[in-house]
Amino acid sequence: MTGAPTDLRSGPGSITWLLLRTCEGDRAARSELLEALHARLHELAEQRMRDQPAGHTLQPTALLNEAFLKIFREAAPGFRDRQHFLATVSRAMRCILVDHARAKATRKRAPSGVAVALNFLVDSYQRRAVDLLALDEALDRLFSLDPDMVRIVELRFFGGLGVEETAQVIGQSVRTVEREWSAARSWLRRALS
Amino acid sequence: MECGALVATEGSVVNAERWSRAKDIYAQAWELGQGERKAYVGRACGDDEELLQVVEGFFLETSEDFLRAPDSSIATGLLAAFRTGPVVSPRRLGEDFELVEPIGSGAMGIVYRANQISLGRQVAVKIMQHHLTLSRPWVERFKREAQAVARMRHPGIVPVHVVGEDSGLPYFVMDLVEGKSLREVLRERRRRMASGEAQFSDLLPGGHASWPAAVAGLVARTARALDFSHRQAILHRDIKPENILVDGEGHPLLVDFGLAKEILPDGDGDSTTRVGTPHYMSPEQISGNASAVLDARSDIYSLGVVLYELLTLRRPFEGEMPDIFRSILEEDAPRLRRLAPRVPADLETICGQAMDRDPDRRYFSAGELADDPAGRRAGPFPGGSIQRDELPGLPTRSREGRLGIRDAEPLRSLPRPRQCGRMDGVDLRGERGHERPSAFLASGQGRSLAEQPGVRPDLLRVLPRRGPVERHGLPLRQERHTLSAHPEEPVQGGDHANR
Repeated sequence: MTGAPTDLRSGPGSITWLLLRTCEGDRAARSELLEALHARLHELAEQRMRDQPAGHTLQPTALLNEAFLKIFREAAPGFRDRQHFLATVSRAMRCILVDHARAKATRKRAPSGVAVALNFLVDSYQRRAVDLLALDEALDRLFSLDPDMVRIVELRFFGGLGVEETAQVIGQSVRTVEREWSAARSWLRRALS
Repeated sequence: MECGALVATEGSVVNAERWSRAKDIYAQAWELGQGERKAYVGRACGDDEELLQVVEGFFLETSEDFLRAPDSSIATGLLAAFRTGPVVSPRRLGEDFELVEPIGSGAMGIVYRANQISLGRQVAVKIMQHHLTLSRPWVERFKREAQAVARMRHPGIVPVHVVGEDSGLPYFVMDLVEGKSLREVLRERRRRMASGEAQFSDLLPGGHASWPAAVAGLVARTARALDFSHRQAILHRDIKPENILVDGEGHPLLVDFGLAKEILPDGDGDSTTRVGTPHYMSPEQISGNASAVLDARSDIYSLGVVLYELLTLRRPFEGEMPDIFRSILEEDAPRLRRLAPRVPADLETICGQAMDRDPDRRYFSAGELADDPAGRRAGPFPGGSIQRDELPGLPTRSREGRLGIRDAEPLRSLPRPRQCGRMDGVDLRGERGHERPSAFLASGQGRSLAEQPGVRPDLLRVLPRRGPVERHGLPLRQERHTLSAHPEEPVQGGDHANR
């Protein structure tokens, strides 16, 4: 059982709180969030490694999946509803992946179980013909013109949501999301080339 | 290509206004076929080359993989987990519980058969549905009501032993009831009736002479349990056959207390959280807005619908949403005895009173329904005597059941009003004056509730008020004068009968 009372998990400084602030565009919260997430990821990963029977190795993605599940589930009660939660998680994934892609490029971070797992994740995104750092910058520019389009990209690409779920989250029709998504991909392809 | 770059680097070239103009043209063109598209875009942009470039930029071909989320995306896994149920590794909850298999699901949670390791026994564990844990109010409600139910001890209510949380996932642990729900009983009874089988003693055990008698007994016991919970200030809000279990002796057990309230009317627009069947909802549940105040009589209505269905094997109102809502709000149910002529008239009367569209004309409390002498004539309606044995010291005619309570906040210090059911064998229920707090005061028998210490003023608002004395031309009072002197029903005096 998790003994932490709710207010510790959602009060100022908590991951939930930082997530919410980050999604409102708070830059300082964003870097704090990334540090807090990394710390928590390490903690969970180490714990998981210790619990692992000798000789077993855990799939890096499985490890990350498990850790993120735990982190986000703990954060979940801080959200207004499912839509709010999904939008926030998608935004958080963008921050995490971009941050790690940057760290990887500059070899900033010491190799560790979590870093290996995150590398793996970043690679799986980069294989989608995307330079994550360039994408992040392009999305920042697009945001000033069309914030809704950016949200769709975050939900579809970083959140991995389907068209219908994306439509639910942003409160638009499926057809609109399909159209916007198609435009966003075209525009980003050009912006990234 | 340049267009994208221009937009990207020089916001001044493609400003917000131009961008939205391009988006409009693009949206129109999107609706057209490939052939017409180009011509339309050309026409719409005229000689504005830059606009044309932006619009054309939206139609660029991209490779299929471009910006497609990887299959191993974290969020994909997260979503899958939230959809399919708990990912408790390794299917363990807290320190002491090991999940075995899912055995059912309610409005807010999934129920598992589980092993309690420390005590070496099987229990039922209800775990909150994942996607509902995303809303803090729902989590709070789930926990609060679990705690409230955990405080109730009644043979007609499945006891809750432990309320806990694992990785942010609230759960509670209950007795595992080896039995079937009334839904299953109904299904089997329908099947048998269709093939001419009248045998029912295994469906509703207890040695009853007839199906209506067995039903009467069962519903009266259910009403007792409901009355008990109402007196703890807990509304069920989701009384339906699925939520009434029948154990091996034919005794009913209520489950899934009050957990559905928040998600019955509208939810958050997410259809997955909407509860399946509206057929048992009271008119006030349907017509009220989200904050509508419900009281005990809403549960009584729903129990009336269950009674109707048990007796006739069909629900009073059929149909889909939203038609069903209109039926419940406006129509009279088909006459019960027209559908089931063998049902005693008294049961029809009871059902009609429980299901009256006007809450003021319904029974005031579930206890009143269970006590209705008409029920005793219709079959062995196990009135006060049985429950008094099971629960020594409980008043049989307490009026607290009529307190409508919005949340599961027990009214511990609620004063017990003077009993005013019967006097010298005469049913006084027609004399409504005694039952209003104000009349209470006037009669010198007690202070008004508002003056009593410990009574929350916000709860006073939700006390059901008695309606006008006449009841729809039903000769109820007269009838009851002759019935109330039942041998097993001790006559209550007019003095204070608080225990």
